[in-house]
Amino acid sequence: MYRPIALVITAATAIVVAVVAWHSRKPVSPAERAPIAQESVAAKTPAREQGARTSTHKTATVATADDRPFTEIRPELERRALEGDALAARRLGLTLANCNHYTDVPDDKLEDMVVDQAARGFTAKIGDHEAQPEEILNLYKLSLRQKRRDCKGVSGLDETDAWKKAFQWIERAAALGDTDAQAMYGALAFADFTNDRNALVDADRMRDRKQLATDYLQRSLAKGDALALIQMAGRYQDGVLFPADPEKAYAYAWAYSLTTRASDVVPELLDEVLAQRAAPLDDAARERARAEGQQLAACCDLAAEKTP
Amino acid sequence: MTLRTRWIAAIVIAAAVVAIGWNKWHAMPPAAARASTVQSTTPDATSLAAPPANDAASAKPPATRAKPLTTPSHVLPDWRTPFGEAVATLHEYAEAGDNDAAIELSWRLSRCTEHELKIAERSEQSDRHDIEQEKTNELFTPDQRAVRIKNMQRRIDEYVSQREACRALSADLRADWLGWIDRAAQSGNTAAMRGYARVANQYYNVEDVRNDLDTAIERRDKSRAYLEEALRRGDAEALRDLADAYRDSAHPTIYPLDPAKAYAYAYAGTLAGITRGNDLDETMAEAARSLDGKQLADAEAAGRRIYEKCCAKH
Repeated sequence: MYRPIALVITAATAIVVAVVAWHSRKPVSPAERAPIAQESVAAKTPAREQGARTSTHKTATVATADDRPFTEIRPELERRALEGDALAARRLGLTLANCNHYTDVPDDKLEDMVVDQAARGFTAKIGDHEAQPEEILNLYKLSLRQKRRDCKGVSGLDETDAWKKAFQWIERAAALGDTDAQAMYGALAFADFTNDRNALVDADRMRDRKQLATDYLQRSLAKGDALALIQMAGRYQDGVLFPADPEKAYAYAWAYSLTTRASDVVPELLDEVLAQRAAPLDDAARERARAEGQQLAACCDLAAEKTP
Repeated sequence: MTLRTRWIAAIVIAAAVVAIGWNKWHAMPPAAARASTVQSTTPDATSLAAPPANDAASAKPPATRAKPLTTPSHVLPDWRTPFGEAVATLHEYAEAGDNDAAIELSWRLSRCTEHELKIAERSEQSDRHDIEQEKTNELFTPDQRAVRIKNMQRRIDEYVSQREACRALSADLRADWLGWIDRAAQSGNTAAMRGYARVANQYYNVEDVRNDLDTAIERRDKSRAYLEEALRRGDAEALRDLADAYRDSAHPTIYPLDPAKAYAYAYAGTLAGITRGNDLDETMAEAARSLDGKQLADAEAAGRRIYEKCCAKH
């Protein structure tokens, strides 16, 4: 009578033991089979653009002062830039960056534009405050005066990806040793990163680009190119290359205003830039920044003495 | 039954009892296992992601850092619990070693980073501006305008309330927002590994990444390693994350666009039975539009291999 019960108990126990043994065995984890290959981000060396190391500066033969229309001179500029003419490459880059879609607009048309924009509810900020239509009009007028200088001989330029192309020429000019292009490099360095989806994938290239932009800017400054001062001001303002620092931004802008190179900019526009940079600072900070600017300006050709 | 039979039966029963007890003692999962979580029995995950020196989230480890995150989970606060109270509770549970609480804590704290607060502030300003515009919007009736304005105001109130709740948290807790889920991942929790890959890469565009390059690269690389590790440990849910990471997207993702890989991982996901609604089918359909017949066949074969390797035996 008990034999069948004993057999059932024994069989059931054996099954339990077997199941327990099966589940309690220690599995060989995948981690034990293959160690993980770790990526060392820190170990990576920024890859510099090859041209920056190997190019040699050639004497420019197409000067920026060439007055022929841009459309006429462009093929020659491109040929020369590809042959290693840094000035030609720089001119191409700056023209594409500054003058794409440029059309001269008479002042009275500008006023109509601003009135129309105001009627449609358009608003703009200058610094932290909402700009009045008069302020916007003034800025438009000053910007247009600057464009008339920068874009002389350019009309009807209508390029797609103008900023990307501008960067390619500036990159070339900088690699060829042009200090203006080196100063400008940081302002255009991220122009070809426009795909949000790939931002993380492109992050290493962006980091290399940022490092090169910083190097170029400092190199340009070390060579006494005053354009680097106003570019430093811009980068301290926008925080792209350096942590945003309004006081430093004002100091560099002030330094630029003390150099002969400041004559490249419409005086009232430069005053406006200085006023905007000074706006967030208190009096003490402005004083400190001007004193620092005075020292920074020593790098470059100084204009006649300026008072605040 | 003979005496000899009785002895044999008694010994076998005793052996079974000992074996069951032994198993219960040693094979108990380190934390209450969630359905989608594959817990490691080996501690090697800690070597996966040593805290980076310049990662603000890991730079200031809490005092409890060395404590293994292996205790059972608690009932977590739900979405109705006020933010500050929920964070305090989750913090307490996470410090006690609850991985699920640690994961949830990082998600909640991710709303309090300076970056997120800035975005919320911009949205708030935009809503305030829109309210002013809405007052004269003739496209809608006065009643419709009132409803729209009420909705915008509700959003603004939520932004303000969230910001105040975030500011009320300690600076250390906010700074270490990513550390909790990272440590849970390092303990071998695959849900945390997958969660890390989502929460750590909440960038919206090129500018966001450009402003945070070193951290973005570090988190991207760690996310890639975690997803691969989760898959290697047999967590089939990682297939969906990987398929998504290779898809087209409006926001930054951790891998380059690759329709063939997106298809392969999504297909592997369907084989593993992790489809939610028809999400993986949609991924496959989207990817298939960019692939020719041969590429599609190759992607399908790759998907099958991925499935066989990661998940067929789990």
